[in-house]
Amino acid sequence: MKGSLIILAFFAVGILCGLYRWIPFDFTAHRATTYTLYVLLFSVGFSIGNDKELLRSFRSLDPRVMWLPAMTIAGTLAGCAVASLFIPDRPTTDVLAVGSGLAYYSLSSILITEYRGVELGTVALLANVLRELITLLLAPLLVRYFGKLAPISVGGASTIDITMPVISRYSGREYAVVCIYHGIVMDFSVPFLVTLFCLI
Amino acid sequence: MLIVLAILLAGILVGYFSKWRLRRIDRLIIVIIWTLLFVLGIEVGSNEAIVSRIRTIGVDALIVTTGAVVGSTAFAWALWMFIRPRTPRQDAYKQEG
Repeated sequence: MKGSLIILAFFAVGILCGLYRWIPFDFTAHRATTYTLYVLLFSVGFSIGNDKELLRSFRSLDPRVMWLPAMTIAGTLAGCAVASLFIPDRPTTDVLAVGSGLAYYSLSSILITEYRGVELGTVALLANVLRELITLLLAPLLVRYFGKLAPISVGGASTIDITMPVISRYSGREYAVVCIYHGIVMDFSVPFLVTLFCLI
Repeated sequence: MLIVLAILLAGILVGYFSKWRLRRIDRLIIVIIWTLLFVLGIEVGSNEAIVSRIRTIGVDALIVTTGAVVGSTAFAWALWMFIRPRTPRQDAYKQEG
């Protein structure tokens, strides 16, 4: 929770700097952000590949739970396709790209800004931050009415860090491994899906 | 933009074979994220088209999130219903843990 507040604080201070022109330097005109993004993607990949504990914990999983990330992605895309009917002035692929952020708001908003401009990037940031907050707030209700896998699906990529403690509290500690596995598959899928829907 | 995926895959491969420890790269990731979101904030704040449409943008974000949450809940529920019969009854008592 604290981590996401710090991230939002940086974004908010950036907005203030932009609104009141505190920084006499046009970032958008430079390629620096693109290269910084590449460093970020490489680092995200590195941290996935580097953690050998994670590979080991995969093997102790119930094989049927392996399908959960696929369900999360299919459910998210289906839900977003329906949601796009209520946003007639945005193309369906844009809505699917935003949904493909899977609560990984930092990476998805940066990627979408790169591909489709800062306006859709902002939608992605808000939508995916909101998804994480909803997971934190609704986890107990989701478990009660829709089973122990529901908060993990709703949590998307955040199940590997911010929402994991809440989920393991309400779904049970044995689901922490599922959270990690799910979060890794999401981390890997977000750049892939966002790129796909931005370029179609 | 296959370059994005190529970089991600290169990172995974280098990470897998590297002797470097994880903690340092996690620091780096968070600092880069702070920087990029700060820059995104500047872009948003200095872009009049966004500032003047911020309510529409907020409402659109809410609609997308609602769709994503309802859809993923429904699909996770379906998988849960499929898996549950084989799960022993006892885990109903573990919920408070």
